[in-house]
Amino acid sequence: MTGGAAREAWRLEVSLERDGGEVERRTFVALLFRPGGQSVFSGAEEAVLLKAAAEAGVPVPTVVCSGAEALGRPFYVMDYVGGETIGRRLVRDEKFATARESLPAQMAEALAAIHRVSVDGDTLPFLPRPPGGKPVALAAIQNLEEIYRAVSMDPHPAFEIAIRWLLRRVPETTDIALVHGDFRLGNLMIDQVDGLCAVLDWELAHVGDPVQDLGWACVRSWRFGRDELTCGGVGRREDLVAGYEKASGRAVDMEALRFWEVFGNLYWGVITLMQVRPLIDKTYRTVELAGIGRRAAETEWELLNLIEGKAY
Amino acid sequence: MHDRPNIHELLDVVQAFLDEEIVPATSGRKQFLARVAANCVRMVDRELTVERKHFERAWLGLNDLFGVEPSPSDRVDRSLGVTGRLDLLCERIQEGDLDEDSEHYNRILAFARARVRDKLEVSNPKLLAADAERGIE
Repeated sequence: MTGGAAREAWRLEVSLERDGGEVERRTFVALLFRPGGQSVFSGAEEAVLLKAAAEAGVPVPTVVCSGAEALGRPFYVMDYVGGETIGRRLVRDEKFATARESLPAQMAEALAAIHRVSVDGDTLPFLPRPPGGKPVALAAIQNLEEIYRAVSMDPHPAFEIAIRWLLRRVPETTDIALVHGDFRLGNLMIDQVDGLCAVLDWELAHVGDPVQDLGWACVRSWRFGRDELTCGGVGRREDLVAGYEKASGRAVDMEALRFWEVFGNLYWGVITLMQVRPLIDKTYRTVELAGIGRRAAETEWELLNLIEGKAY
Repeated sequence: MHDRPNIHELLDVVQAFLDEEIVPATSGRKQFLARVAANCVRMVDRELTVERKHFERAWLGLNDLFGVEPSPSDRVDRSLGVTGRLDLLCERIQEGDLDEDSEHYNRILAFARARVRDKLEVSNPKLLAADAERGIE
């Protein structure tokens, strides 16, 4: 199975022999953490995070076990959850039409549940936390700007405008929560009938402003071409917010959401610049990366549209 | 200067070879990469076609913001010239000189939009066309 840059996923078909000779066939997924992969927390810690999420009512695969070494690498094993994750298919294929109807509300409920997970005191101590003494969002922009300046090879006036725009609108919220960090179509397991059945890819989880997750779910790149459907190509951002407010009891300031949607588009733009660096540095030459570098212009375009009120 | 096929004819035949012969003969990741490669070739073709027009637009826009400078005649100098002046613009934005309360803000936004539109004309003209249909230009 695919797994991403920092880990690899294995599908395990297992026959369990019970007492009395009865054989049960089960399917699991083993996630192995690659050596040198930039994981913020370990496999065992991620397993703890998934258990905490499950207890809060987040649909996640059940963790079966975790450990320090399988094929020489840290790992954890979870129940296999079937379904579709490919965004392009989810927003277009006729067979997901029913699932699409329920998705905005289900995404809202899942986010509300994620943001209910306790991050007080010593709970989940391995999660990155915002530095004290300044607003969470300010720390996030400063961090992103630093990465942008380190990886960018060319001037991008639209990114500069977006950074200034963000710096002047830092939400002053003191509401912090567990933030999934990569909650979007592509990282959600979707069943044709039941819709959202598991939230995957927790490697960017951190403590932060919960509205960040809502803004990220609305970033244009995760609409997979269904641009008029601002919530992940399946609904409107207003549907996501209404469902979220109902499920969480938190009120969402639409300007804070706009802030985090702009932030999300900028973040994705910076990632595209980062991803193309191995090609430019000639350390990894593949045609796939060539296309990615020039996708930065798409995020610049969307940033200007959001800032000028053409897309928000 | 050179015999036919010209640059565009050469690129066109490479793109057609990838799309019509390699893509149908491969599957999975190879096929995906062949599609991406064909798209890269189309991108080069578009860039060569509009390069001069985009330079003129960028240079005139920068003249409008920073004052008139003579336009470089050499192709490499043109690219370096635009990048250098864009670096300057970026520094000014970063320093906060051109924020929303600046009298120049709307001109800066319009310039940035025109620049990005030109980049998309090369990298993703379909996205521009889709947005134009929604009234976003």
